[in-house]
Amino acid sequence: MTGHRQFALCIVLIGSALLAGRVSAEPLPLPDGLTLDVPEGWRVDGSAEGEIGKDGRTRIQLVCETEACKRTQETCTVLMRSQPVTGADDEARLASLYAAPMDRYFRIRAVLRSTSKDAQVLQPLGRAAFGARDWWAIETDARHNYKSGLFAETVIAGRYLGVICKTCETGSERYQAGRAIMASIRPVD
Amino acid sequence: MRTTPSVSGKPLAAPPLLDLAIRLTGEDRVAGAMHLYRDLIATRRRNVLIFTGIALLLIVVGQLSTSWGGRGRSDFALMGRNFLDALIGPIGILLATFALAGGIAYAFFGASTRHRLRRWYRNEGLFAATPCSYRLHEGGLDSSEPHHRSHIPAWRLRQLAESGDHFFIEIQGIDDLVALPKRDLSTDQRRHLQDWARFCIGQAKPSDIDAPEQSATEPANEASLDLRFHLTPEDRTAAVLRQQERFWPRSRLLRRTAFGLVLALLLVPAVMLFLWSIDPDRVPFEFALPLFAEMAVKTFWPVTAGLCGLVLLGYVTTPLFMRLNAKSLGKTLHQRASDDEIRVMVSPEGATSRQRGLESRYDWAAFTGIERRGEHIFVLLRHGDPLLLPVRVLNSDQMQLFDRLAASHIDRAGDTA
Repeated sequence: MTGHRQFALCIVLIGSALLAGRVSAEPLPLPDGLTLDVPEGWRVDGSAEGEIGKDGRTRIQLVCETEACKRTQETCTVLMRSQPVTGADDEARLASLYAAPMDRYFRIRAVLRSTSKDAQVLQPLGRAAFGARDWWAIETDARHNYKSGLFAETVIAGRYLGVICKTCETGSERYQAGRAIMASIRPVD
Repeated sequence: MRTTPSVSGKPLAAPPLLDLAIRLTGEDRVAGAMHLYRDLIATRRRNVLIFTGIALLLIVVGQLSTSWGGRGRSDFALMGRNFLDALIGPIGILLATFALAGGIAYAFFGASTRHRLRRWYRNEGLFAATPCSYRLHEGGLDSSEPHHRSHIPAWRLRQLAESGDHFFIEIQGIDDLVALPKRDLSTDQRRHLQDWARFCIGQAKPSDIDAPEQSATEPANEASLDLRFHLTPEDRTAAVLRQQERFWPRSRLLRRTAFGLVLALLLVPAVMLFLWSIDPDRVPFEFALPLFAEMAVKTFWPVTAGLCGLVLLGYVTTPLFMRLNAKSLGKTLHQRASDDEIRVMVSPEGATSRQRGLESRYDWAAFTGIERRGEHIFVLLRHGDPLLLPVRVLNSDQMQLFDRLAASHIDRAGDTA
């Protein structure tokens, strides 16, 4: 009997976990017909429609509130430009973002500035796949007591989309939730 | 610079004879040339400011037209903002660069001219000290240097000018003067020199001075040449062009072009590295270096190509500009000088040049060679600018005689001098 009770408990727990996972990864509609999945333990900080900054870009702030995030204080910011990116297709548009070496230089400079003084480049600026989509990504390592960052940009149906995830985590495994957010971004069916 | 007045304070009595022994150095020649051509130097210096101003104006007008174009043509505030934004960016850097370059060129124009003159005299072998003696008397000034004597009559003296280190005896109607370094003059000699200048300068030209000059003939001698001519602007242009081409020989132009090309190729990387080094938020070198290399090749190649093109254009057009400059300078020099008849007599004893009262006698040992350039013959002097003979003033017999005299005397004289 004990064995049956344990089996039933496992089924219940697994079922709850699957149910909880499905329920917590809530889709969040983004401007221009895009959407992303907000992971479990994350929430939108501020307006779900985002706020338009002085540079004309829409910012949606996501904050992690899990137990682990009390230490890592992980956050992600989704950025969208109002102007479409020109190009034949998304691949060409993505390539055009950093076709010029000067753009790449100033991108690296900007992310280092945005991280902290004396920040270092952990992963150099280059193309990376998050989910089914290609991104320009660069990862920084901050000095002590500052947040390191993962800065990624892509183009979806001509729309520029950037994600900046920051964390206090210093280990090699960082931004799992942030990568999941990026991988989940897609056009609304 | 002070000058001795030509009329006021003139002493009634003739000053005593004054003999001066001077060692004329290259620096004295430079000082003399700086004084003689001070008006031309001042004009060119002013032109630096004018050209800089025009360049700055063109850049500003170009930027204003760019700021004015596009959307919001009637929006002056927008145009002003665009213009100010541009001033803070690359246009501002360009303006500051031009202004700085123009300012430096203007501020150091005198020094750079002096440097070029020094280089010229050194190239021509005229920088070593030459012993010269001068006799100042009531009739004018007699000078003597190795193998060369000359006389300047009092009525052809224009003024005695004075700088910190030199006295300059200026001569009317020709581009020449006598530079006397103060270091070789005692206080007494300086006072005597000024008294002499007060007595001599401003004397009227004797009424009979031209008559004997015109009719005078050397003793009849089949082995002598007697040439009379007036210099034309083209003759002076030929003399200036010779100087310029000697100062900028093809080899020096090639060297300068090669140096310019290297600078043009290094300029963009150097500017990038400089800006990178002063940037407080600079990207680490290992990431920046490949990007800079790519920028130099992909992004800034038009700048590098443009600079190289300018350097090569300079190489190609320098001879043309030298000719244009020589033509303009030849014309100016012709206007500054009086149109005197020049009489040159060449004999087995040497050469004599007379020009309305001025006289120079040269032993053959004073000459080092003959240089023919187109329609002009330059008789090269050991210690001074060459004598210029236009080919047009010699007929074929005279030319053969001149060649014979030069061939039989100059080499031998050159060896023994």
